[in-house]
Amino acid sequence: MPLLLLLLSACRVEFGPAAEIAPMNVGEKAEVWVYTSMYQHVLDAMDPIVAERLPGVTVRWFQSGSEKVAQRWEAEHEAGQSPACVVATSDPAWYVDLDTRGLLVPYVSPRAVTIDRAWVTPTWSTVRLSFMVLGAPPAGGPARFSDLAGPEWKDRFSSGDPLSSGTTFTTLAALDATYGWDFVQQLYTNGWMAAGGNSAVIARMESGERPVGIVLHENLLAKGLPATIPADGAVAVPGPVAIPTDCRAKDAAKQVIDWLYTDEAQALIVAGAMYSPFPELAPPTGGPPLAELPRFPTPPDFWTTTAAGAPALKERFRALVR
Amino acid sequence: MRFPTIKGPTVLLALVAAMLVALVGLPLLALLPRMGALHALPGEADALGNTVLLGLGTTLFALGIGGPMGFALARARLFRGADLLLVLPYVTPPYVSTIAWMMLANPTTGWLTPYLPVDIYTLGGMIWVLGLHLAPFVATTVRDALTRLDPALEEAAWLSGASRLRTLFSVTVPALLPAWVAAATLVFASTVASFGVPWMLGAPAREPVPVLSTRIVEVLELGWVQGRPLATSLAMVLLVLGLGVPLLLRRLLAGRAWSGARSVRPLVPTDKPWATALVAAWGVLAVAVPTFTLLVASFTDKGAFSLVHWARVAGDARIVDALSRSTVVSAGVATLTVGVGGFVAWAATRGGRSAGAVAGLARAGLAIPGSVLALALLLAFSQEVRVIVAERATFTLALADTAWLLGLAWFVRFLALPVDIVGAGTRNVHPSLEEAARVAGAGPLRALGTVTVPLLAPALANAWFLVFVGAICEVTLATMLAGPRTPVLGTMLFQLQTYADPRAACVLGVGLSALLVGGTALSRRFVR
Repeated sequence: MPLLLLLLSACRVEFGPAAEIAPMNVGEKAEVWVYTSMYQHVLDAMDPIVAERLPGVTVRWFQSGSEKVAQRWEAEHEAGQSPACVVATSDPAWYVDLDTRGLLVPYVSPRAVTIDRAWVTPTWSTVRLSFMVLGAPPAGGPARFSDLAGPEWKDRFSSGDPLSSGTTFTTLAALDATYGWDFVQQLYTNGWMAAGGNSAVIARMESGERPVGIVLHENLLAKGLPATIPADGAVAVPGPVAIPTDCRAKDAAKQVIDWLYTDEAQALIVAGAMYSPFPELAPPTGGPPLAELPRFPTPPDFWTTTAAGAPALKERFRALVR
Repeated sequence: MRFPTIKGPTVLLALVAAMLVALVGLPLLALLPRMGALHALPGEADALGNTVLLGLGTTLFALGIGGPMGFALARARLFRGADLLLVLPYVTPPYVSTIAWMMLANPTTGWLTPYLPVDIYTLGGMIWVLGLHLAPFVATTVRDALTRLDPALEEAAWLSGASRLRTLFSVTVPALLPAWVAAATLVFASTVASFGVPWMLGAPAREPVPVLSTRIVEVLELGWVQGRPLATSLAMVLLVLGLGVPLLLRRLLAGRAWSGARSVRPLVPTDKPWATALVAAWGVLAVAVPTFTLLVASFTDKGAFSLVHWARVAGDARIVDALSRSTVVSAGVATLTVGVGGFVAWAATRGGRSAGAVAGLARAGLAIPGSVLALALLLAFSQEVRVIVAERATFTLALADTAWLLGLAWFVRFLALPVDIVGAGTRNVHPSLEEAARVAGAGPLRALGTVTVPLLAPALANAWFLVFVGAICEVTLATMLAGPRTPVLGTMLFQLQTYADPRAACVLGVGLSALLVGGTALSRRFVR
């Protein structure tokens, strides 16, 4: 009984003919839920500015890890409809999957058409870029990913868990696509510790437990830790943005995406130590310009094959380490 | 003389049952049709085996430490603050204490490694960390049961010539069986459903130690569409394990426990050197060592003394906001949970099978991993429910992204605690006491309120505290269900741990523990 009263008090009561109540509007404003893995401090900086720039839109943020965002969205979608109007995480394979299932609204922001074609599709485009690099001193540390298979780095390096960290999974897929599964096996034989997320990798670097990490460049920059851009290239992890078909305020969602591509929004992304996909914009403090950042070579259809083969690759990796 | 007709409580029980069906049953039913990939279950035998070993090992370890600790607290004259020392590991978020043990006992650079052959990245390491975290469960439950136990029973045994040891095993231990079983079932269910500790310690091992809860998350990470059928099936296996083993334990011990009236003349605590030594050892191993490690970590940055982590926490205004919200919601959840769970426990102890079934439903929330529970609740409650009255007024129940949904989730999650803790207490209060009140003319609810509830006050208070602490430290449900406008401490801890600064999460964890212990000490002084 007390719980029923509590539930009743949790109700929002609206008076007037039911038909007049617009479900996704707050007053006269359209409400846009953005489900994102962007850092909270970046969102905190964006929030007042986007409110000022888009007076007709109320932006609500749900922030969590890419995988948790995806799980939440999928659960809501399966329950009937997710309120998310914009999804902006860092797992391109999920966007390819959503696109394949016909769950994304075709939309490319006008400004996004100028960025690298590899990072734009008809239904999702890259709004920020992250790179997986080597967390190690430039001198004396491994110079490239392939060095990690050498005896001098045995039991001295770690990464996040590809089964739960989207950025680490992208790295695994890139290494597999370019160097082959034998190389992945060599890394494992050489004592690859793959556990936790990027913060766990940094914790192991700082404690000396595993002094070398395969980790996000932006995490190293943010903490002022030594970073080595691998000579064989940093693994690019695009941060897509898209509008799910569940969205009930698609026009407002497009306005939010357009704003995310403005210089001021991109500057906030860069201030959060991530890269803007526009090479003309400044890199994050301490990082080389985007054009000078060597990129790990991946096949042209990398994201399509990665999305399709993700379950199999994860199972293969699990079988290897178990 | 028995009083079989209890109409008031029966109606109340029916209402509670309906509420539990809506909150626990429906979300679980929402999962059932999503089960699949059963052919893959045999491949998960290693995870199932590890889960059973982890559950049993942690339960035995926690009983082995918590039982004597509870006895020491109830019967020995100890130094001031010993009871607070006891609960400190429980009020430290488990993954924060895990960070401390990783720093202490990782096989490469652990601070203890040069002196002791220890490796925290093992099944034993998980049992150690979870056992220390959950031993206070056992200790407080045993302590409360001993407080209720009539010392005349033990005195009678002594006067009959029984030795202290024989009295212990022939009188005290059987009298405490309900408390032992309650504590064991809670520890087992909490352990098999726990995710953070196995995730942090099982994955980095040279030979990783998968358990069902970590496998469920791994499988979900394969992709919702591909992974969900197997993840749901694994969750159901875990649910059966989390409910089945405790049920088996209760069945095995049924009839071996007996009731005793509450002590009217409690035993005067005496000096017991072994008890002082035990509590001191606990203080060093379970409290001082990890807390010192966390403090050192929190004051260190890049190998040098630094206040940067403390400054980050102190400078974040949202933490105060989250702390106040967490306190209010956790207190509300604890009060509601103890009220509902306590009633269910009483009804299950005094009533028939239907009440037992309601209690079983109430226990389900603790037996499934937080991430699965969160997804089930999202599936069940993520959509708005609208009731339009006379075409003029619309009642919209929109729980998603509100503190209400999180509160409901915590309610479901922690309802098992009062059900088992208060249930154990109820079994120690002989029905004759309530029957005496009924003979004197009291109705069933009045007898409950004036006789049983006062006698169960220690168990109710203990359950309230355990639920409150469990909720305020909870992370998994909070990260999935808390709304952007309603951050709670769990979401702040997750932010710091995952993105911003894991050592600042240590600061927050240590600060939270200090606040909880300080608050507990103050409230006790106030109550006195």
